Amino acid sequence: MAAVGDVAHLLRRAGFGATLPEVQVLAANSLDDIVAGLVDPVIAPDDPRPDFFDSPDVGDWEYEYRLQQWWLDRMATHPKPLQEKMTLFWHGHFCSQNEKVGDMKLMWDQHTLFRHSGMGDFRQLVHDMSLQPAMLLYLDGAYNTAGDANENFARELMELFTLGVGNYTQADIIASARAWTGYNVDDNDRTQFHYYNARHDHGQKTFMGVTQDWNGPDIIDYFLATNATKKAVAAKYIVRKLWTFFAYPDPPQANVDALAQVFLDNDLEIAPVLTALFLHPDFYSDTAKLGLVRTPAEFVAATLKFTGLTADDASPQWFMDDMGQNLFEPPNVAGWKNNGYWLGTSSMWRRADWAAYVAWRIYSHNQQAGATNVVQDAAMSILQGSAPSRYADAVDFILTMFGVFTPSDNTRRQLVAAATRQWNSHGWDERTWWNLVVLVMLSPEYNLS
Amino acid sequence: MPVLDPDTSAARRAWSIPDTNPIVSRRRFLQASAIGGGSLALTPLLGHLEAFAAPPLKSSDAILVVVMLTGGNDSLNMVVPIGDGHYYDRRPRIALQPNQTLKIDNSVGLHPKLVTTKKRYDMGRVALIRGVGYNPPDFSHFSSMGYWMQGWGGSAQSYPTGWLGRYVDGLPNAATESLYSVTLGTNGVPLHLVGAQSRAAALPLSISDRFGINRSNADDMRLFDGLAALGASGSSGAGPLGDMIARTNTQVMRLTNRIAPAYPANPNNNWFVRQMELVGRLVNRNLGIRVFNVELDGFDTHTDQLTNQAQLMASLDAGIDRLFAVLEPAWTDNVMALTFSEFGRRPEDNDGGGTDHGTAATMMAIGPRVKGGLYGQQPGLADSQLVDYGNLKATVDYRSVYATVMQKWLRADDRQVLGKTYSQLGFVASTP
Repeated sequence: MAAVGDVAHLLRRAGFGATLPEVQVLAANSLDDIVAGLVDPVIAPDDPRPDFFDSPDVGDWEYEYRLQQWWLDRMATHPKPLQEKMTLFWHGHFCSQNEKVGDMKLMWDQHTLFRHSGMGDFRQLVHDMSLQPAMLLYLDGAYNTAGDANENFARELMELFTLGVGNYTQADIIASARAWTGYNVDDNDRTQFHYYNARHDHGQKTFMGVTQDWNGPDIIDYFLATNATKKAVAAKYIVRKLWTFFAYPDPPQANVDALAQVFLDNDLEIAPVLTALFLHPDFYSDTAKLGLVRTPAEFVAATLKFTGLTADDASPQWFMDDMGQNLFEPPNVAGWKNNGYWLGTSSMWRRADWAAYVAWRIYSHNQQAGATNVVQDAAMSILQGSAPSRYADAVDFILTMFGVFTPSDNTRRQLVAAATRQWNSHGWDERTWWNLVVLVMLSPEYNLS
Repeated sequence: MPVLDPDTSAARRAWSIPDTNPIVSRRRFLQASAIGGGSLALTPLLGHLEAFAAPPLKSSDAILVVVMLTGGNDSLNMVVPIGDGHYYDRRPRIALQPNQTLKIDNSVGLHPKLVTTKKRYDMGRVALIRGVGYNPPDFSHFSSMGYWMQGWGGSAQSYPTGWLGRYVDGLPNAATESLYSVTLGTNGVPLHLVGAQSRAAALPLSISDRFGINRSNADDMRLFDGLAALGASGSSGAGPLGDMIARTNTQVMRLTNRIAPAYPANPNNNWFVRQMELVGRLVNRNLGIRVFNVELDGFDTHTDQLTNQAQLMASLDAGIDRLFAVLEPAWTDNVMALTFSEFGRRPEDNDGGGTDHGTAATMMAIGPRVKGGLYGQQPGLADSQLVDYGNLKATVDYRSVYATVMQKWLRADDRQVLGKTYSQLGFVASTP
């Protein structure tokens, strides 16, 4: 038996949130079993590319928003939410921006790689993403040729993707950039990787003190396999980032060291690290439970899940850029940040805009013939009852509906006050639950992950 | 220069910051010490008194508009050393020929798209401060931007703050006046606007359909009041981040009233021009804002630089021109714009028609009270003068520019703000 609060926390982090029945059913199992179920090594077969990519006469911008919708729906409904969460993690780690790549079909290929390999062999993932056109075009490997090496990819490969700043020199970057010359896209078809031997710099290069005729993939194998010291640096770098993504920022070094050891013991397999992370006692500390703000993608996916709205209906893709997270358009190669990054006044403002839109969409559905007016019927029957606790009961109903099982006293008190005021205002009765939906979506609890 | 750890230091990865946890803790610390000390006045609880207001400016107050050129602007092609043969030797693919540039003299020409900036230069209102950077250079976008934003020369900070955040810290009631500084067009508040106590407001670029703007409906108003109340008690009961979320909501609801009238009905389509236009309109309303941050992104021109940078320079020029066109005469003389970027770019161009990360660069200070002209020394481009893998050697410390802005423009204690005394440059002619 696992604690309900722990299971709810785990499902917010390893997925996008869970309903009370989902939490209660899972909580009958041990935490070990629940985590094992989440970190399922069996990868779902790759999805076929969504049909809309085959529509003729559709511009790339339409592919982009439709894939955003497709992915958000999938986050909300897919039975393997951790796979989607890891896809999101890698999208913010091995960043490509479609604004520069300019071809969503290439972004789809990268997206599929993250989904398929995101819990597998890290070294292989680095190799694979390096040679995909989405990365070659984004970090200019496509234009990296002997004689005038382009350093963009070589730098970020070490600074952001694997080792972290301070663990290489500018001379290493120059040597690596030369090693990656010739790893381009096809001159006649930029959607295909092509190695041009004649454009590769075959000269001697000194990388991390070793002089030889390095090529690109050798560079990855060197610091992620051959050189044990650098491999350990990379292990710490990646597990620190995973901890920050799943638990809270600035983890104690002991936590990083423990997970890094698991990563190294498994030759950089990712799944065992996730298991260790989700079973780490500190993952269930108050620091962790209150330690992350829901990102816009998480906020949207959770809302789609709890309301049953589809992305096509709720149109989050038109709001998310201003919330700060436009999928397939990370702000730069370092990806998105966390916590305070999402809490600018202008980005919270946009969450509020969308919350009001969601409430309106729920209300609109309630007006459709034959619709099951779940939210409205339940809320109104509570509010129209005679129980002295009817306002608090309505608040609890909406909170529970949105997966907030343990609101703070302050939040609950303020929501009850708002519901009481609205109901007794002789205003529009339905606005009582409508306003509660918006307020719950903007509450501190709902905006924490 | 101390190396900052990327994952523990906000300065690094987070140009756009952070985690306000440290700020919250700092405030708590101040409260605790105030209470413990007994003799000090109580610091207000966590922002529940923040009214999103600042005292209106007097006609003698100065306003700074910081223009972030994100990605590493190639200032060698912005302020072109047309008299230096080495420049042409190193850039066979992307050099701008002397007759293509807007010539200042036989040694310097401006990028051809900086048309109105050149006119301002000719009027003596543009200072070009050359060779600005630091030694030894750091070629990472994130580290280098972190240094520029932090702008600190004192002993190591336990958590990083930004140079303009520290300036605002020195203004009256800095912890509660949230409208001393604002950022437009960025997600979150960038580090240079984060102080130990002060926090800038991030404003949206358009608000026509934004939540809370229309206050004519009583049902809506009860919703807005309910939202403001969630963050009004000081403690959300959901931890420091929960407090922060609730407080931000409250601030949004209070902010709407104040800023809404400044927004134009038809904002400009150019993202940067839109920001600058909004700056001008916000200044005209005199909401007490002293520092604005705006951003023009896309300068990481590893490939196809001629095309990309030309578009960016056109936007930059149009935005600056728009700012001064929008400003009402009563405020024009109170405004100075200052550009910066995390670094310049490599003198040598690459095979993709672009340039890689470099070092020192030219900053521009623009405004009616700027003393126009050339400042600093252009770093040499000869082999013997280049350092660190073929890069320019900085001749002016970027904090000298900040020190000048502090002392001569904002009339603040530069040593207090920067942690050290830096030499003054002469580009400020007078204060309002």
